[in-house]
Amino acid sequence: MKYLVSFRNAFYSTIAYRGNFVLRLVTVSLQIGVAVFMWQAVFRFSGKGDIAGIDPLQMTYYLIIVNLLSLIFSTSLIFKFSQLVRSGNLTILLLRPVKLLVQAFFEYVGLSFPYLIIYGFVLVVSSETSSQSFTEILMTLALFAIIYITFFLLISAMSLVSFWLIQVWPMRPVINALFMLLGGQAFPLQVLPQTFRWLEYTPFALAGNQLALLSLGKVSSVQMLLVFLASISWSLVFLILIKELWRKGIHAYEGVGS
Amino acid sequence: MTKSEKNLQAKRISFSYMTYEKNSGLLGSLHDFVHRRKRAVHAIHDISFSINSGEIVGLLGPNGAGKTTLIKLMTGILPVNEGKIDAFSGINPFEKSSAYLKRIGVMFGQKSQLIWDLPPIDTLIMLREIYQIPKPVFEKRLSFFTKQLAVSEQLQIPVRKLSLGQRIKFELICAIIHYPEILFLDEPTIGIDVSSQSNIYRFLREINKERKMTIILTSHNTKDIVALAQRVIIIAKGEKIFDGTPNALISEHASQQIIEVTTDSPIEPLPIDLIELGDCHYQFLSNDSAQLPIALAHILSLKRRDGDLDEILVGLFSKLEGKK
Repeated sequence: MKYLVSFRNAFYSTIAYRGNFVLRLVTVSLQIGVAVFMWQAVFRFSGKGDIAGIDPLQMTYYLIIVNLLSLIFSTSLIFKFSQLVRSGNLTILLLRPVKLLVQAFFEYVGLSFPYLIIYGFVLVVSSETSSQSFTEILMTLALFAIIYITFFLLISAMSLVSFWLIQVWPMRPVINALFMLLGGQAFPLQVLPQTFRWLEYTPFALAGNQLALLSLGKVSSVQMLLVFLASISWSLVFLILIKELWRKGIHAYEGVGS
Repeated sequence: MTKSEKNLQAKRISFSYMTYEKNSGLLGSLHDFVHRRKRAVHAIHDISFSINSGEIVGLLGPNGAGKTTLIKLMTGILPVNEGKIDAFSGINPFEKSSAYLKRIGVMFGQKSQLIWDLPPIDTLIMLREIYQIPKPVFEKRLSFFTKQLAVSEQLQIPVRKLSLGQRIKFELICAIIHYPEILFLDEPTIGIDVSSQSNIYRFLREINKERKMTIILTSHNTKDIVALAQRVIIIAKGEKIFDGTPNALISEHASQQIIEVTTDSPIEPLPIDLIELGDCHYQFLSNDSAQLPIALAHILSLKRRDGDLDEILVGLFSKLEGKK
């Protein structure tokens, strides 16, 4: 229950600033608009009915979903944690009898909850084009949950560099570029040559590209299994990394300021 | 729990950390980019003390003396380099075990645990869940605390809209909502008006008496110490230089009566044992100098009086500064 309150507070905080919330949605809508028009042009001038097995309507849904996913799979945790270390406010959290990683996870879910609702709505609408069975929908949701945890663990591990790197803002464009390229935010990774197809199993690709394709029913059972195994493997790697970075970082933490 | 039971025991603890010095100017910045000059700071050196259950202990010292570092060592934020801190007979604070964290409360005057965008009640409900306080008990406590500190009407207002004083009061409520056995207060009255200060003093004395809550506080406001502390530990340059009651501190330095001097013009340069109180108004400890540190021709008036804790500390700290 104590963690559910953290989730609730994070959710309330997200919607506390209505203007910012709406502005974020408008920004993403513009990004989606640009990507959709660009791909419509590609379809029209190439004269092809589908590209990498995706038709124009599915591509539109793909771009909407993948850009929404970029809101859900937020990297803000890195910068929030950095601020806590820089200001010394991490001290307050360290002195509470809670498991910080678990609390951070519930906060993470709370912060992205409004976008999860929108995502759910888009999924229902797009399901008409995917013709997924009930079992497939359940598997998609289960994979979504596993990948969500994997991505949270990745972001948590990255945030821990704040113990040593006082300014983490230079990481922001790098992370955005990674999501844009590997996450498939600009184009589905399936259009890449076979040599680069392994990129589909990197954490950013799992969170963006694969989940968007899953929602459209474009992932086979074998691929689902591979996605599942990749996600579990990455999670284990990140968990070990978090444990080690935390152990070393907490000794480096000075709790600056009085 | 008996009054003599030890809550905290520090045995010959030391703590040092590395910092670096930065050169100014373009060349200095370029030099720092390539080669950073590191320096070890010995923040705490060979300090021992024990604090019993129900005591109110004030930690005093000049800026940078090591008071806050000592609190961080006692709460477990920082690990000791040498020596040992033993809490509740067997707990090492740095392990941050749930058993220890549930028994302590911490308030740092300059760090907030309130959620900035939400009303204080939301943070307090979260703390209720974290410390597993039964709902009726929580409501009773909250009503009592908010009434005592006169912030009942601000419970539902977003934290960002509250005044500094109101925020500090809610920070205090957050620190004690679970009735900790040890309460650490770092600058608890920062930004608080005089009437609210006395409110807080009365409130803390009451819960200390009723709950036998140990209170360890640091403050630059000696009023806090005079009003609350039964015992004072003075730290300077990372070393303990006094440990006793405030009365013992005053009587130990009572022989140092204060001489207040008004002069016809400002004194420049200011002698090391002279403290400026205002325009052409100075004071010094009577036994600091066999002679007046000011030429007689400039003196308009002289007044002798006994020093209070504030002045004793000013004298003590400026002496230590002089020894640097």
